[in-house]
Amino acid sequence: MSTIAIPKLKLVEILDKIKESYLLVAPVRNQGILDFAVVKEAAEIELSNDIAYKSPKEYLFPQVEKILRFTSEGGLTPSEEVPQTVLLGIKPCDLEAIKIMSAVFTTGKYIDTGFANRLEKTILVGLGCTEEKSACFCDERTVDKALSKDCDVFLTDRGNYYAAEIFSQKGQKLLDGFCLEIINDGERVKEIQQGLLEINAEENDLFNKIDWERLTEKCLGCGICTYICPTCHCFEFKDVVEKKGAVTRYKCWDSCMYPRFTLHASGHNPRESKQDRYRQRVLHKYLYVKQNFGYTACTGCGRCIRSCPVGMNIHSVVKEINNILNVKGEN
Amino acid sequence: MSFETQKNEIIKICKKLFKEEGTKVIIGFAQSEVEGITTPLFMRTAEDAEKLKWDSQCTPNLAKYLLEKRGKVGIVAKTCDARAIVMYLVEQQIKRDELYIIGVECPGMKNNDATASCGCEACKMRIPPIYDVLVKYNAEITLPDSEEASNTVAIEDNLKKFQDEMKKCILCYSCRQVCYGCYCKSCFVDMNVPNWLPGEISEGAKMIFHLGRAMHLAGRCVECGACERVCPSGVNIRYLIKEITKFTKELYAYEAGIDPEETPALAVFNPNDSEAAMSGSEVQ
Ligand code: SF4
Ligand code: SF4
Ligand code: SF4
Ligand code: SF4
Ligand code: SF4
Repeated sequence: MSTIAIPKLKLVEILDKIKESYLLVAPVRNQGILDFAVVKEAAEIELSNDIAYKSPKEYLFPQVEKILRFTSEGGLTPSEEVPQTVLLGIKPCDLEAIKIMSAVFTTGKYIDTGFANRLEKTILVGLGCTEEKSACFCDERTVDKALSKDCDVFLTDRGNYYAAEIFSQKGQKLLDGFCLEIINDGERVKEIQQGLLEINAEENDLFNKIDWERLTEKCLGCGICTYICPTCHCFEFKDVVEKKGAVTRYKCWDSCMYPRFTLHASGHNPRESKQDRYRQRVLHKYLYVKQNFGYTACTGCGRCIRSCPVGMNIHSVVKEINNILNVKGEN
Repeated sequence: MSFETQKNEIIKICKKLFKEEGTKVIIGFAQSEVEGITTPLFMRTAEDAEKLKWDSQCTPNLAKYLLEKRGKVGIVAKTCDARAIVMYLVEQQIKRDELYIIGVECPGMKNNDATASCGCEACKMRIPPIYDVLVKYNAEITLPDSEEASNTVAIEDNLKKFQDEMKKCILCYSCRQVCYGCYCKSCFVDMNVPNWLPGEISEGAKMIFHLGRAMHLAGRCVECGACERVCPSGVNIRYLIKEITKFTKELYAYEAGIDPEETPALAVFNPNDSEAAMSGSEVQ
């Protein structure tokens, strides 16, 4: 569609206006930490090359979601209304993640109505990166740090204005009425590097030929890698019984790094040890989602590497797996 | 300079352990693939020892790995790691004779912006309280000068401070997971019979978790700072635990992770304890 210019001097004014009709969520710096937050004043938004510490996934897939409430009388109340939302300043890696999550939650046999509903009501505004941050490896993961079309509007910093590429009706509607100038920003194409980091191996080999114990002996099972990861999407249900025969059912984030992950009521756990669980994390990202939905579910955002308290590195783990399997294959 | 000499000495000791003692694993530090990030190193051969890193970025905690049974292991221990070892010994989680401790005099760790790492900013104990061999720093170490700023918040404002910190917490439990003191197989917040936490991430849920955790660490926190370093939301939660540590010190003259022969303050009944210690009344 078209590209328009948003002068930086007018940005705050425009966003404050948008905020009147939408819930505006954007990166805000609080005590040094950059994170997505519900914006109170547009002036507090930080659009920079820096990446938010946590991914914005919680605005589509909340950490805790009240999905329904039922009573002994048979009443059943579904979850609450979702506001019209603008999610602003999403980096190309996180847009890739939203694409992957949408595939998981809104295609195929099972549709997550909560996610689908939020996605429908959310306008995604992307923002390009100028430089990779330490530990980023998006260039090895099909992401072009400077451009993504998996959004409604994409912003590129052009000095004293943002070039806003509009990719959907939703995006068009968002910026209508601001009397902004249509510009010719040149034909831009997404640049994808060669040499993708992937795992192309049989699950059996990945189970049997890799010494997962060695690979994961450092992991403390803290789970922070899964909480801040833009594509981790495991959840569990929690029924909380209230006093008068009423129960509220919550859907809450789960993490394969926690010992209770997939623990059966019988006491048996098919992923008993931390190496079983870490293997699940790597293979879920690099094998299972690909088998089921066609995407490798790691965007190379590097968050898990930057935040791991013991320096575990999924990028090197995947490389090492490939090394081991290739060497073995040649023998 | 002195880090370098210490490093060479540690490497020498590790090689000797592999060669003469037949040690199978020694846990130390290594540079990770990413600049500015240090990672634990599990050495198994003399060549592995060459990868050892020892500088002002060696913040990861190593002692927690001792809880996974490996037989006889060696460990490079800075003061906080060694304090955790003492804690595990008095709590009978590990056996002294299965351990070889390479104690390292620690000049204090730094963040990437050169400020003191969380936990080190107030640490005055630079020599590990327990070791089999001590690797000295051999240069002057400047200790933090002032007494650690105590919680100066007035009682009435305490709740507000707590609530302000809690607003940031997302209840991911990472602070618990990295903590030396938190090694219960099943944490009270994970139980569903009984269910201690409400379903939502409410202030109440955070209060139950953080106050519960703080109480479980009474006389057990070894002040390593790992909990605050890992927090994705920058929650300053150690101030609570520091207060409790101060109480235990004042009431029971006990500090965690110092003396392997001493029974933990809350694991013993001592008729000579002060009235305040027994009745739990306000410290004088
Ligand atoms: S696994 Fe790590 S690098 Fe990959 S998407 Fe998740 S946080 Fe980012
Ligand atoms: S299994 Fe693990 S890696 Fe996969 S989505 Fe769940 S928490 Fe993330
Ligand atoms: S952040 Fe690191 S230590 Fe924590 S669970 Fe993930 S890999 Fe393990
Ligand atoms: S509470 Fe924090 S400072 Fe104390 S031992 Fe646990 S992780 Fe270390
Ligand atoms: S690590 Fe931080 S956010 Fe997570 S539970 Fe602890 S205080 Fe809360």
